Amino acid sequence: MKQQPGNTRNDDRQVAAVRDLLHAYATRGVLREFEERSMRNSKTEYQFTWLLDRRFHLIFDPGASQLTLRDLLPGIPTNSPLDLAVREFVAARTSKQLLAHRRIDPAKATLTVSHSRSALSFVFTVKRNQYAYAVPKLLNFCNELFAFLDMYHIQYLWEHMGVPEE
Amino acid sequence: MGEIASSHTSLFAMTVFGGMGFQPMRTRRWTPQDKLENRAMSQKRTSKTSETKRVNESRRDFIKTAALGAGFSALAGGAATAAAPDVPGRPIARPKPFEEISAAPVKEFAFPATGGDIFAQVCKEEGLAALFCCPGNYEIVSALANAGIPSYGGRNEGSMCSAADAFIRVTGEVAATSGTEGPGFTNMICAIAAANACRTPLLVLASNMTLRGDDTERGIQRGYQQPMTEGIKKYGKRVVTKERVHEYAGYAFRQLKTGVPGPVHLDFVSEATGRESEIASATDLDAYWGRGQYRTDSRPHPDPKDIDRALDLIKQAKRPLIVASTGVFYSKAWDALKAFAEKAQIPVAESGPMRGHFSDAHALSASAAPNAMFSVDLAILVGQYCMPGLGEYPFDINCKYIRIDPNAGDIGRNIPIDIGIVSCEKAALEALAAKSPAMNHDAWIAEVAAAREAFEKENDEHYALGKSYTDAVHPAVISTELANFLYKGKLAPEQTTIASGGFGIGRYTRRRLRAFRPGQICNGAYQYGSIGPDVGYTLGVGVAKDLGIGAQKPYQGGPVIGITGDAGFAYSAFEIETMAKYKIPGIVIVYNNNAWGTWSGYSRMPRAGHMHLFQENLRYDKIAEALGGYGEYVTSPDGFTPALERCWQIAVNERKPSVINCQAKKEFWIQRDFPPGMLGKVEPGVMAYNH
Repeated sequence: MKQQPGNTRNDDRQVAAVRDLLHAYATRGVLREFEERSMRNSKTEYQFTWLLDRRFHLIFDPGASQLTLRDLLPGIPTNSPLDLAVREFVAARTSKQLLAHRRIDPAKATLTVSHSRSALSFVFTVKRNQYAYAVPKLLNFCNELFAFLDMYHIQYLWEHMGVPEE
Repeated sequence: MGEIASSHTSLFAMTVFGGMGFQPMRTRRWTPQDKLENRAMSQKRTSKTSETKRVNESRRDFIKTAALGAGFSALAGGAATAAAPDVPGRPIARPKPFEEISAAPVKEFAFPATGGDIFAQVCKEEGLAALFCCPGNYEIVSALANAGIPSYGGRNEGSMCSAADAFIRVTGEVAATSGTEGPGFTNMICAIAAANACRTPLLVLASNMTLRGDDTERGIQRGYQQPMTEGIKKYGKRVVTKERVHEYAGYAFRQLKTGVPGPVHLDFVSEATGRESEIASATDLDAYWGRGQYRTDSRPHPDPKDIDRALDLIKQAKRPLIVASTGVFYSKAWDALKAFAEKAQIPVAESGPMRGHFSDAHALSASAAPNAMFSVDLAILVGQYCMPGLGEYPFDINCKYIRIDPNAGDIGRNIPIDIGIVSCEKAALEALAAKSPAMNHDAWIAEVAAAREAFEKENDEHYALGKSYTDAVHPAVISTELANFLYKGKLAPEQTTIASGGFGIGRYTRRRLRAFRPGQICNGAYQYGSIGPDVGYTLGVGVAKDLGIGAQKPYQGGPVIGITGDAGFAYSAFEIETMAKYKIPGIVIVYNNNAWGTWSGYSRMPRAGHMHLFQENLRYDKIAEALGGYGEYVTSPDGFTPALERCWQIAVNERKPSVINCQAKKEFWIQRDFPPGMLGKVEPGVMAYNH
């Protein structure tokens, strides 16, 4: 991996931690066609093929301790019913009504949604370098999000995610 | 050869055919309680609501009178009843031969025999449970029927092939399908492919002209069949030598009855099975050895070390799940599954082309608990022949996998395994049950129970929404009221067998249908996802129930339910006539939304949208009436249950098939206008049909 100016040793350690965690899933076959690319400002992009055979773009910003699933859900206009439904789903991930193994613990990580060019990105802000907690949590969040879409918004998957209608 | 021939002459000679003939008119094993309940239902019937159209007033009155006047037992016993005369003097009526089938003598096998007779004799000895066919392949189908194998002739080879597939999927027993060379055979291709995707042990038979006519294009219907089933069968052979017919019958049953099942396709030239194929004695046959010698019933058993390793992994898991699939059913491992699940306290979710090998009523059932699937940290896949890829079952990202499968060559495909156990499913589950300590997963079981409750609550919310749409019949109304009728009314919940099909409607009915015993649901669209075989599936399920074969034996007789859409109905609708002529009381629910299920995605394309539409308000119920069945047209939510009750009554009393034409509207799939709209699914469990 090419080093970028401004990288600190702490950043390197965080990048290595995230890489190792993701790479373990790649080695196991969960994430396929795994690639890593350095970006500006010490950021790293991990790309992999996963759910629905789609290409995922995960940006890690060690300075902000943020893992961002960039443009994960395209074709969702702001404030559309689906936009609101997804945001509601995201908000519920931290509900105390969820069991601990299903809940995103706000003391360890927070999850927010950002909107750009009709695409939703999901930002995981990790607290106190708890990447061993955050990375599988983020992937499990994706898993549940896609199942939520499959269950209740199948037409969106047909129209925007390449899922065959049959 | 002398000794072998001698032993097998006696094997053939000892075959007893008496009493094994085709008995389509067999009296139902209904209890007096059933009778009372059906009478009570009859009395409860009220006149149709204003929204439900009366299809044939005079016929209804006739039926009611006949049912009450003639008495239940006479009608259920199979007394021939001509349909009401739609045209004076021209009633739809079963011709006499149908009444004479069960009384006809069964042909006793003896040499000299044709290749067709020899093949039929092997099928008979192997317990071939039924034949579904259209005319053609005469030497084989006649020999099978004459040998006493229950045989059914239908309207389309594809639908009859689907019927055989469904029959097998709910009985667990091998059945055959047959078509004539050329067109008859190629009509079956889609259904064979579906059976292959389901790993159905289906015996596909077809004639194939004469060997001496190969490549001449003399006459018609010539073609090489085996290349056409490449990739959609377990085994296939063109049988051309009369001396080897017995040997290849052995090949077929060896493949059908061992390992991971799948369709076997045999095509026969006339030289091998026709009149000129006569064989004088057993000693003239090649490889003439019997069932105990051309195949074995021995099954692979698990390595004890693998069982120990599996139990170690299970002990470490907090939220283990058994996924019980196809192999559990075909190895009849449901008792072993229950014993292991209960001892280790592990929830079970079903997958596969049939349902019921783990009862949905069991406290450990996770089949209707989709929200619990995300928590699974150890999945024990048992007999999961059609494997999902990673991510298709939405288990925890760190989930570990144990796979139990008789085919070592498949373990590790699609999903990396932590432990693979090569074994017959039943043997492995018995070993696990025997060696497993009592375990405690109370918190996890409580999570599964909560997920089940949440799922039912959501279904209830869908129903409330569906009831609020009063100008058409919403799928949530059909699914909920059908389930209430089957499981919460007067019927025993485990009694009725279902052919669960349809596209959009299936996404609602699967959420509500439950299975309480093996083979209670045929999961129609499983994996191959073909649209249209549903009436064929209903026929197959109905015959299985009527004959009481295999897993259906304890529940023999009575109506069955089929579910389809208006698009699908068109493909196999004429098998309503097949059900009518054989008195198979299938009630087919047609979700009629005037469109293909794909319409909503193309509704904004003026030059393309029309391809997804039909004429509106089509009368599929009248098709049923015209084919000798009974029809109901339901146009409002309040009309569905009364229509279902009337169809049930007629099915019980007259053994007549029916169609409930549920008038919906295509706009129900548009979520913003008619929530909840088109639904998707989470697998494994009740909604599963991909795997």
